[in-house]
Amino acid sequence: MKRTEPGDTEPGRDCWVLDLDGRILYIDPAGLALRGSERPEGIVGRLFEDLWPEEHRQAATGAIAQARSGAIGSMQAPLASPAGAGGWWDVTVTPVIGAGGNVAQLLAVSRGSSASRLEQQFLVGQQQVLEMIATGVRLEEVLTCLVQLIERHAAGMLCTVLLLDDDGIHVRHGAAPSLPREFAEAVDGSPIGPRAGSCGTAMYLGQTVVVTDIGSDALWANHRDLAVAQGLRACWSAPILCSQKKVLGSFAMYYRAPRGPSPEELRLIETAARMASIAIEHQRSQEALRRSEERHRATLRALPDLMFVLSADGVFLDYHVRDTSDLLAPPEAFLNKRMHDVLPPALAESFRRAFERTLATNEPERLEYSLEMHGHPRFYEARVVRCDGDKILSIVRDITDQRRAELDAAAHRQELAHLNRVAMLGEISGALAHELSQPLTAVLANAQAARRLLEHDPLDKRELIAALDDVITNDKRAGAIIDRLRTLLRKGDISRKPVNLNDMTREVLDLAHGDLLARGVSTSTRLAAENTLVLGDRVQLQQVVLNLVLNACDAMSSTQPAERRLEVATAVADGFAEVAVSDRGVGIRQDQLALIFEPFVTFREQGLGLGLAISRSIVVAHQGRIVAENNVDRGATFRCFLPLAGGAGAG
Amino acid sequence: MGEGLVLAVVEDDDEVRAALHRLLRSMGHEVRVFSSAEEFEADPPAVDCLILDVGLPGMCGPELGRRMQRRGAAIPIVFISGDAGPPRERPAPDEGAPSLAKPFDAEQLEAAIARAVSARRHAP
Repeated sequence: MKRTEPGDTEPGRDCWVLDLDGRILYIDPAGLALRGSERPEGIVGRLFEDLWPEEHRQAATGAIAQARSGAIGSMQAPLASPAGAGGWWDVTVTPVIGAGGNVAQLLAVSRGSSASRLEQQFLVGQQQVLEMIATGVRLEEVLTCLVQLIERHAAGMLCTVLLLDDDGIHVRHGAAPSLPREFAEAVDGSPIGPRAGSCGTAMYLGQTVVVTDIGSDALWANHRDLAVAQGLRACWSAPILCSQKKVLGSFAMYYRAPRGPSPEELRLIETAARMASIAIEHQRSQEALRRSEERHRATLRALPDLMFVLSADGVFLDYHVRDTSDLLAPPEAFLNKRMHDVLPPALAESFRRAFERTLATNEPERLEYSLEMHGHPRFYEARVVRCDGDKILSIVRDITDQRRAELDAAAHRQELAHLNRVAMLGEISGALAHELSQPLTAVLANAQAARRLLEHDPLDKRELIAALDDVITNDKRAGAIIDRLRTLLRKGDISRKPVNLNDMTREVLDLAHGDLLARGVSTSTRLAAENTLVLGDRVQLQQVVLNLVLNACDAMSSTQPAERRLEVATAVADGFAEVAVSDRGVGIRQDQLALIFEPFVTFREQGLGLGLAISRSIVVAHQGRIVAENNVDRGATFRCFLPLAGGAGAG
Repeated sequence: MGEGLVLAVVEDDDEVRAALHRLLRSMGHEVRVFSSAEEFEADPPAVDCLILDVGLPGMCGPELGRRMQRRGAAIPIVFISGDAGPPRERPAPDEGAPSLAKPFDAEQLEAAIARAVSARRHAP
């Protein structure tokens, strides 16, 4: 690395003779020229160490002491030349042995530092800056260190780093340890632009700007007076670009005399700008990371959820909880333990399966369960998701209150439904009783009159025939009433609109959710293509499916809890939509299969025996049919066939 | 029942009215039939007992009974009704009249008539 300019004295070697105290006895002409002096008077007789900058004097003293003891001493130190360009010098101090065999004098030889040496120093400095970046030293300190590293290259060079505000317009102070404070403060906050000094223009253009004379360059029109007043005359600035080529700031070199940069110096500016870019980007990403972590921590503080990190095979690795009393067991009882050893076996198994699925699909898995906590059952919802590669994050939420409200609502709904059914039955039976009582009265009265007429003598045959005719008439009348009632039940007020089969089914399962949970029934669905439409009354069809679902639950009340599985399937076949509800319950006795849809036939202890009869009349009113069959292995399946809306099968 | 009585039936249902007419005649009674309380009131016959439907259109059976009582025409009454019905249509218990729910048996009807008639006879 060459650091002198044409016109400077060639950095050769110079040669000094010192006495044992380090006082200069002789200096060669080359040394004199280098120090801008032609006569040795001002130098000879002074202490050698006093020629060097203060912070290097101790090294000089040490080198002299070394030589005095008979060894060779050495030191490195910078020395500014009066021309402004300075450099580093390697100095060796060698003992000169006198006639008596003792050290008589000392010979000091100084050489301008070799290019490789400078480069090595620069690399060490660069390393230091990079280490500062890596260890998270404040940006301002890192940039200051960078500026000082570059400034060390040449005496009289002043460097600055300016940052571009997030707004992309305003300049912010970065680092300028050597620049007059007044100037640095004036620059802070000024806008960039096409004529905004070297730095503001470099940031604006995104390219290096070289101003060899601030005193005359148009780019400095606005800042010229201040710069010149502070003794700044040349400024070369390179933009600091991030990896996406966005401008982050500028790195600049100032000189106190008008001059242009050597190719060397231009390269150095760009190297410095790249290092500044690394520092700024690192600091910004650290800042972003810190903010994100802060948000993360705030989120954790705010969330009522419990969080667990587990290995893929189910060992608890970490947890987060606001209140440890929310935990099933104290942390030491589960951390680093397998969940199969901590959780109830069935639950651990559910989690294991959820882990398997989420690891296979990379999609979050959700499961609901209940646990005994402090003697009371509580309901939880867990969401598990892959994190940190092959680990599992499980977020557990206590949904007891929500679930209780749902259960209450379900109980309330059930009660209403029951009252409704009772009221409906009361109404039907009232109407039935009133309507039927008249013909029945007439039938009985006529029959009993006929019975008496037969005993009369003479037999009034005409009256007898009239009585029997009236029996027949009134019996038919009773039949007609029943027909009318049946029609009433069947037709009702059915609105015929397209109903989305799957939505309707899902709504029923939502409605029954609380019941299913309360009865420990797990549900699986197998649904037909979405947008399968049937024609009918949504509410009535839901009543049918809900009735089938609740019947299925009833049928499984004596089934082992683990076996209480309900399957609800929708399908399309032969122009009909099908809803099938399968249970794993007791099934239907063969001799009852034919009767099960008859009104007032019930095979349960509770119930009016009307549910399936009403279901059938609704389905029939929809021009569909409903059938029941026993499953091959266990339980029963009820199938409703409904005509597709607009389909050929509807006719 | 040894002797035939003179009975009136007030019943809006044609079939029921005809059937009761036939049944009571077969029992040996003389029967007059009316299809409403208003028709009965327009020309009240002298009868031993009135078989009165509760749920009549227009004036209901119990109301006819009360009006007759107020006029001092205290004919024994047997109420017949098709259903439990709203309470206001039911004869008040203090009216003491027998009440039959449709459908009823010939024997029940005969016993009710006998009870109504004898209650009246033994009344002070």
